[in-house]
Formats: sequence, structure tokens, C-alpha cells
Amino acid sequence: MSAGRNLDEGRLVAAAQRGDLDAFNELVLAYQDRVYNLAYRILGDPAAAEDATQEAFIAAYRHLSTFRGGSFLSWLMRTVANRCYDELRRHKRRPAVSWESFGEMDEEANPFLVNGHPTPEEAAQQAELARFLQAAIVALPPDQRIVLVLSDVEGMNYQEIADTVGIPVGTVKSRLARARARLRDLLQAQRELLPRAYRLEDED
Amino acid sequence: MLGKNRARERVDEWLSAYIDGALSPREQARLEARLAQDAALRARLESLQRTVALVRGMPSVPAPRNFLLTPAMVRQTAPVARRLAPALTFATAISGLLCVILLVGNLIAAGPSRLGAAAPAPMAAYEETPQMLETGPTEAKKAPPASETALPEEGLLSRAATATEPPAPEMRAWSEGTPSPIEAAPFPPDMGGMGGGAAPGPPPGEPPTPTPEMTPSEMARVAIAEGTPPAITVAEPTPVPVPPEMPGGKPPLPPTSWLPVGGLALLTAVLAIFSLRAWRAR
Repeated sequence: MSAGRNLDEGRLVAAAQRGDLDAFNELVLAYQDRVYNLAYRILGDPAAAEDATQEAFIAAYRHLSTFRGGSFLSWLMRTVANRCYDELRRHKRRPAVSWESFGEMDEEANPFLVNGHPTPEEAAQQAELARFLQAAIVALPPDQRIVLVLSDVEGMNYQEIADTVGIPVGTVKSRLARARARLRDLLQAQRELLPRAYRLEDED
Repeated sequence: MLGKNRARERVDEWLSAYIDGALSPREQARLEARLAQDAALRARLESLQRTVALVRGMPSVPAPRNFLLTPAMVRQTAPVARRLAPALTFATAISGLLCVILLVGNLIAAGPSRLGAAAPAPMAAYEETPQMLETGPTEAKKAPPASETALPEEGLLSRAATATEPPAPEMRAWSEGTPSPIEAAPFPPDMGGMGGGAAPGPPPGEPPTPTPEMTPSEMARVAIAEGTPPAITVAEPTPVPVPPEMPGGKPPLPPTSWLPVGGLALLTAVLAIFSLRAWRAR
């Protein structure tokens, strides 16, 4: 995935390694959306995701000397994923939007349930679907959640996930399978809350 | 039940890896053959594929603000570890050094007692103290002179000391015929064959006649030569105050003397952990 900017990553990293903070800030501007999105998907809480993002950039700047080349973005994402993982393990953080509270929404608050039909506003529908999915994701156990996000949100392969989280590839496979199956079960259990187009049915 | 769940998990694992294209060609061919025959398995795969597609299709959440670093932000965090790490290391070293000094000091202070405890007979330190000799010539008779018996090193040293040094005040008092307070003290029954209960008491009217100028060992030899029967003083079991300056008679250190050592050791360990963390944070 591109950062959306045409930047000379290698030159900026080298300059930042020499202590050029402005060069590092160019990298921050280029990657902050990616970093924040990963933190938000893992932690499920905007404030916590902001903290994790800021801390990850500070930590990345301070440990730039340990970056030995390759993809700076991958290295950065590993840094933030590790911070989020530590945060999850330390505090067993409760998500801002819980799966249970989502299921308790009344019809007026849930546009998917108005007369059983999707709302005409596609953008709003997408946003609501994303919120619904996020609530399901944070309902997963932290070990499974981080693997699912790194795989299906960040697009990392098994080896990259194994390197990031520090677990064997076989464990990545089994955790990812359990996370997906559990997410599928959650979505099926609450499928009446989903727009018809997104409902998971068991039939062919 | 458990086996069934495990089998379901195993199938989900294959399906999940199949979605990612992570199966080996052989595994993939086997799964596809099963999918062609099993409609339920196909439905299972399809629901899993739709779930993955939903997650992958989630829109990215943009950063709510810029996360640009300022020099102050970088300075605020880094120097703390830089300052703390050497200071903590220094504190660890000082604490460890103090701990070692205190430990060695305690060991030296407790050294003779420890050696005494290593002697063949328990309470051997009592044998070597002048009070021991004050209990009467019988005791000296029962305890052979240092030159005649193989004794622990401490015992030899103690005997040499008692033989050359002038008698302690209590000894002089005893020598002058006044009863010594130590006479009231009993000896434990296991004091290297000096049990008072086992030996017969001295016959009345035959007190030993040591002169005040005699050293304790000389007095003992006199008593042996005169064939004085053992004169055992049986007394109430009261603790014997032992002057700290007595050679070989140092009492064992009280357990509280080791508390500062333990405390310092604990402090050193905690400081070492924190300094390690501080170095890593740099």
C-alpha cells in the first residue's frame, strides 16, 4: 500500500537517523493515517489509539538506530502493533463500542433496522457497517484480534505477523482461523442488525 | 464433544488458510475435492470468505489530528532514561558494595562462634572459656590439656590464650576461695563428656588446693596429680553471661544482625532490575 505521497523514504529515514526531526515529521505525515487506523482497529478506542500512535512515533524516532533497512512502513507498523499488543495485555482495555451494546441499539438508532430496509445513504450505511464490524472485532480475545487486524486490515502475511507478534507461523494460522470463525459466528448471530446485502447466511 | 470442536477448528483452519492461499498444493487439492462433494463445507467456506471480505473492506479511519513530533517531545522522554540509567547503576553498585561489606563484617564477627559450632562437641565454646575452669579442678581434670588432646584450632588458640594471660577477675575470685557466680551455672549434659550428673561428687573435706599464681591448665594438672575426685557443681540452669572480649567465647550474632544484610541484598536486586530497564529504555 502506498502512503499516498511521493516521498523519498530512504533519504528521509537516513536524515532522521542523523537527528533531523523535520525529516522524520515528513514520514509522520505520510504514515500517520495508517498507524492510527491500525491502533484504532486493535484497541477499539479513539483516545487510546491516539495515545498509542503518538507513543509509537516517539518510540520509532528514538529507536531509529535499530532500523536496518527494508520497508520503513513495515517497521513502523510493527512498532505500533507491538505497543498496542502490550497495551492490550497490560490493561485488558475495554472497547469504547462493545458488541453487547451494539446489539441493544433500538431501531431508530440503527439505520439498518428501519422498516427492515437499508437506508438510502450509502456512506452512512458503510460507516454503520464499519462500526458494527469494529464492535465485533473488539469482542474477540486480544490474541486473536491482533492477528486478525494485522492480516485482514493491514494485509500482512503470516510470516510478517509472526515476526511482529513474536509467535510461530503455525500459531498465527490457528489464531487467525479461530478469529475469523468467531467473527463469522458473531455476525451470524446478529445478522438481523446487518443490512441485507451484508448478511451472512448459511444457505448456498 | 471436545473432539468434535477440535475437528471443527481444524476444518476452519484449512478453510482460513485456503482463503489466504497458504495451503500446500496437496492440501489444496484434497480440500477442493471435499468441497466439490460437501455442500455444507462449501457454505462454511462461503460464510468465512464473506466475513473476511467484510473486514478487508472496512474503510480506513483517518488520523483525527497530526502526530508531528516537537523537539520538546523528543527531549522530554529521552533524557530521563539517559540520566536515570547511570545513576541507578551507581546506586546498585554502592548498595551491592555495602551489602558485601556488611556481610563480610558479620561473618568475621560470627567467625569464632561458627568454628565453635563445628567442634566435635556442642557448646564447645564453653569448654574454652575461663568460666569453664572456674567450675572446679574436676572440670580441668576431665578436660585434658591442650597439648595432650587433638582439639579444634580454636580450642588450641583459646587454651593458649588462657594459659598465658592472667586470670580473669572471676578466676582470681575463684582462686582466692570465693565462690564464683559461674559455679551456679550448669553445663549442658552433652558437653563433650563433661556431664555433671554422670560424675560422682567430690568427697567432703578434700577441696583442691590450687594457688593463685597457677594458670588454669597448671591447676588442672595439680588436680590430676593429687587424684582429686571430680568436684561437679550442680546448679540451677541460668544463662551464663559471656563477656564479648573473651577469646573464643564470642556469642553467636543475633538474627537481627543479618537483617541489614538481607535488606541491602533486596535493595541491590531491585536497583539492578530498575537500572537494567533504564538501560534498555535508552
